Amino acid sequence: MTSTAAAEIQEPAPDRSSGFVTTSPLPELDHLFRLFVLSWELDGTSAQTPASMRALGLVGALLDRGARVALVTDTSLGALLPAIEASIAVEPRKRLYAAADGGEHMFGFDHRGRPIEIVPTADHGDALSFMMRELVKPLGIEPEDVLVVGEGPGLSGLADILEQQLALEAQMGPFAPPRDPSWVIVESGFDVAREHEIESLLTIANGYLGVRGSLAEGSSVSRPATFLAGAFELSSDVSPVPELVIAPDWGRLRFTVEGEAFGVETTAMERHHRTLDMRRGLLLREGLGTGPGGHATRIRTAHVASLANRHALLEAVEITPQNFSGTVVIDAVLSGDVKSGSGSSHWAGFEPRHGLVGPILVGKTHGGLELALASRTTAADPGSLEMRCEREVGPVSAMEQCRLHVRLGESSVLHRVVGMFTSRDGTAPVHRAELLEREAAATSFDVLLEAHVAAWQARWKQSDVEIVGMPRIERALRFALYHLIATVQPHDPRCSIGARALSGEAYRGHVFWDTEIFMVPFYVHTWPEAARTLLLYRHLTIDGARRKAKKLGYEGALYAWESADTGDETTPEFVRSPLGEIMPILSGFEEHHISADVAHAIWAYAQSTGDERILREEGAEILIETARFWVSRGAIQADGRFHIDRVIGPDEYHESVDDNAFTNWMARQNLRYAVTIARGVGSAKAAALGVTPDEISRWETIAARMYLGEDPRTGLLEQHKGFFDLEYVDVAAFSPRTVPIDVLLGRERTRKSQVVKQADVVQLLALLWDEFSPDVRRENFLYYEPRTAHGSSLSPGIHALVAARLGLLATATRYLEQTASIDLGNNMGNAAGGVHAAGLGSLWQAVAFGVAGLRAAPDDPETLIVEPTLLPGMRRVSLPMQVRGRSLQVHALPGAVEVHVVEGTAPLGVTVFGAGGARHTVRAEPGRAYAARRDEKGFLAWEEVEP
Amino acid sequence: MKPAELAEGLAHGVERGAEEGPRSEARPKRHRVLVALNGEDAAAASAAIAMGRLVARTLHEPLHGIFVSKAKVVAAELPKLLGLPTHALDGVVLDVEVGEPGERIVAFTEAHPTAFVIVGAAIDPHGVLGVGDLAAHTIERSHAPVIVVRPEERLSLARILVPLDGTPSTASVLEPAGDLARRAGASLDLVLVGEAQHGPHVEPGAMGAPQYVDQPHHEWPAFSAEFVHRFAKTIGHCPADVPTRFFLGAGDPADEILRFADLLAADLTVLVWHGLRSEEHGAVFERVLRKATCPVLVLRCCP
Repeated sequence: MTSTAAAEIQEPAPDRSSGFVTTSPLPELDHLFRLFVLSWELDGTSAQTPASMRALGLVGALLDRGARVALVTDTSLGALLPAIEASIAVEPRKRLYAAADGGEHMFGFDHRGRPIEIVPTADHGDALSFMMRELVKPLGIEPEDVLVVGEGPGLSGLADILEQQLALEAQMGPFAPPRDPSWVIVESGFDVAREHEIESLLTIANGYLGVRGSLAEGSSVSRPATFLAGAFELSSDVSPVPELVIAPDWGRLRFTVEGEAFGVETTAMERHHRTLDMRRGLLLREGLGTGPGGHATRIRTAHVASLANRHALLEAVEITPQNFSGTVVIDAVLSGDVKSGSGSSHWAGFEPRHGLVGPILVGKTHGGLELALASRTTAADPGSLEMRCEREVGPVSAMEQCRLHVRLGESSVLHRVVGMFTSRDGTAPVHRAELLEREAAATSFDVLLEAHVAAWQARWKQSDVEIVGMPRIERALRFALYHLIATVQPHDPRCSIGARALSGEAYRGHVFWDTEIFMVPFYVHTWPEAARTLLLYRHLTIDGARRKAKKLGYEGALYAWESADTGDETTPEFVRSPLGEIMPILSGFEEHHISADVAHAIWAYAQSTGDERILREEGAEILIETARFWVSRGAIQADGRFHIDRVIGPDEYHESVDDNAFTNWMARQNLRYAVTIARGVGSAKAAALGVTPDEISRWETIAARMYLGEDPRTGLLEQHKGFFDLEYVDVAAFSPRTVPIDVLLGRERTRKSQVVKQADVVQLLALLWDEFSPDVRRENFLYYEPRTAHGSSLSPGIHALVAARLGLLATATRYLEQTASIDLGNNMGNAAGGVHAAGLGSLWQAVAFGVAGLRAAPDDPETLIVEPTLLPGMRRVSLPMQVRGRSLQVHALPGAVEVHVVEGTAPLGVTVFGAGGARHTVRAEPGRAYAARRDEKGFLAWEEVEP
Repeated sequence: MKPAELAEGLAHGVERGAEEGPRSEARPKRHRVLVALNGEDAAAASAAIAMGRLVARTLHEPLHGIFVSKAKVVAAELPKLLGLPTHALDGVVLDVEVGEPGERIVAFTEAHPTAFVIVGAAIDPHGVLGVGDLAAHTIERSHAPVIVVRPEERLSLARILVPLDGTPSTASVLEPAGDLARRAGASLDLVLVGEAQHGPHVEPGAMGAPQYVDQPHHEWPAFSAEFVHRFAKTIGHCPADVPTRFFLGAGDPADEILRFADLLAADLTVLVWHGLRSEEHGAVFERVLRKATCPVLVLRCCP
């Protein structure tokens, strides 16, 4: 092979003996490649010649920037390895592949930078086939993003190409899309039908606010929205409910090129890509298009909701005329012309102003929330740009209109900083927004951007999960973690997380059990202070829970099934189904397990972090008040057992049932936690709340007498009383289906059948794993899994978790893939109203608690149990984990597990199970690493290894 | 203008003079409403004329009638040939042609901008499509929208039912239905139908019922709004001022279309047809056409 080529790459035919298959004569080298397949011929010379070392150094630099590189060489790996080790650091080496001995052996590199053989390959062609299977297909890498370089250019010529790539990336600055395909979500072109879901997926957020990834200049279908976390106004529904405040549109940019509007519907777009850079928290866009007058222009933008300063919003714009010199006008608008999906305008009025450094838009909602937005647009390099900006204010908007003289082939770059404050942040939001602008004016844009990127890097260091061998799952998990990190406000307990995070209007920003059961575990183990803040939201809203309990005739605290700012119930009572029926909604009246879910989350958080303070104060109050609720909620009946009647469990297909197993078991845990706390660290709080020893004894008695629905003969838990007598329906026989199964069967038949909407008993297994024997876990999963229709996005991830723990590899893989596809799959518009935040959290749990098999030892919170189960195709799963003040790095490998205590001040117990269930526990010291190898009977004892 | 008024013929009709003036390339072209006159079935012809009047009045477009026979006939003889009273054809511009009816009707629509072809259905349970030869041939050959009307059907245009299978290619033909609804002051009822048990559509932008309904009281309104936005507004270009409701069919598509037409008292059911009767979609199309109890508007799609 003698040419370089990109695009139109085809998988070689099986009988091909050698050579890459390429169909384009010469590639366009003026964009950034993501995958490099490089012929590495040494011509009998050493791999450590200056030419080879130079080229390898450049390979290392590209790997460092996220590129994937495959070296194809006729030599052995041994001949190449010293040069690789000398030129490429351990971390980037993980993205390197080597097809050695003419492609006979394919190697990757592990987390320690050591080569590991992956699959034997026959020739160069198969090396390319391997890369197709390994990365190109799973990640949907575009052919134009793959560069194949053959022998022709030689190592010197190759080095020139690589150097050119690095120079191009440096030149693009912040507009350069990441090379690593596992860190990006790319949407190419423009599809009116999919635009709403694309806007959801590409949301940028920082916990204070969330901004849908709408086109800056808008389109006929754009639905831009900036959500203010924790701020609610009434909707315009027939029965108004609180909904997240839609802030004024701050990110609107209108481009006029030589008098013609530039946009996807008015400009013939030759190239249009939107890229969510998850590693840096940037939304990037590149559009190359020609207007009706023939003016070809390339516009690149970057949008940022700063994670370093949550009140700062950044935009960068680069304009490059391709065939003209002339005038481009950019309108940078702050617009109060916004409405919610319900049709509500949350804003009572606006007062646009000319501020000291730029336009200001001040607004006040009907509920009295005051908001100030200040904007300032500047040239990145004022000396090189002919630009004049004027300010304009309208009735509900304020904007800067900047007129640029652009020159053929030259890029003009503008920066915009927008400050946003509300009266929730303290007094004088206008003053604070202006102050932010003044401070930003004294700081370079690059510095603001670097601070944001550094904040994201810090979060990823605590969170990122590597899944080698399953890149599609790895990217889906990064997408999940990106949204979970972006959506939490770690310092403001007035904010919890709504069902669709800060990415869409569906579910109105209402908070469900989704947060505590599906999302909080991620924060507990990667960002404990954020987890604590989320739990304090439940303390802040406990009076609402008390009101709800009282209203329904109970004691204590019953949390709202749907909670907003006050904690009062916001679940509507009726809905018109698309079948035309009026359906009563009973969740707000009967789905009471949420109180136990909150209690469980508090307990699990405290156990995993060692945070006793919360158990002394806020947590104690929650545990006690929820325990009081459960006492009042049920009764000891004739059989001497405590029964809880007329509830809805997680399986919402069955309403008004008695003794839902999930509810009863979780209520029992709630009571047990309350007993422990009231007699222990929370005794002072208990006394302050009027708890007496008799009351504690009562909790203890009820917990001991709780009806649990166990069948001692089979080990099965009856999901609710009478469930076993319902009609069996073979759910699999209704698959695939285009409508949910309850629609297909009808409500009445569904109610009378054993069809389960979502993990219910299986959810219980996941949460209270050590309460059940191995046989009970397995039998219940095998019984309920075929009966579960997964009509909720909360379900498949939990099934993946439990299946992985049970060693049901194919089942676990299927559910893991299903969970990964909830938002990123061809989801028929499911994500148009926002991403499924609980599903995202469940994906992390499936990998961390299921595949990696991590959980606290039931008898010792200072010990972490590690029982990894790698699924087929996985070669390594690595993840960070915070446990009781220690930071760990866990590597699950095919024949071993490694644990490195990265930070901490005291040892932590780490346990694996060996032959016959024997426990091997090591007191893992901070700064040290340990490995346990596995044979066919189980893990062997821990050995200390090099960190 | 209220649909009921249209139905009762109380509204003022087309200003005929505008159609009859001197032609000019600069003048906007009129889209004709064409009634296919069936000489073998007076009831069918009468029903088609009545529907034609309603549609023409609604659109403010001229009403034409085409009669095709094997031998040349004089236009003045048409009432007699059709078995209709003389005044039954008042206000109809008549075009009498010789040849094969389906072929001549198509030729007319190709020669003149035609908004709708309206044809009366004959009682013919065993024939092709179950609507009689003239209607069947017209539907099969015409690329202009065809409205099939049965003699016994009440005529109104207040509620238009639009079943969709969730694919953008099918929805892209909705524009005439939306335009008709706007002009008639009618509402659109969109019904998503599909075989309940098959895999998801592969067409980009397609929508099926949501796979996950975490909370029905949030999911269904959000899904309905997104569906209406995506298919009626964005792809179908239905005017924003047309009231639109969304419904989900849960069973056999043909049964569900007929059920919703009855349940919602539809005045017109819009069917998108790919032109084939052999495949699944064609079978649904044929069953609905045979059993519909209200006029059916057939729009050709996706050649």
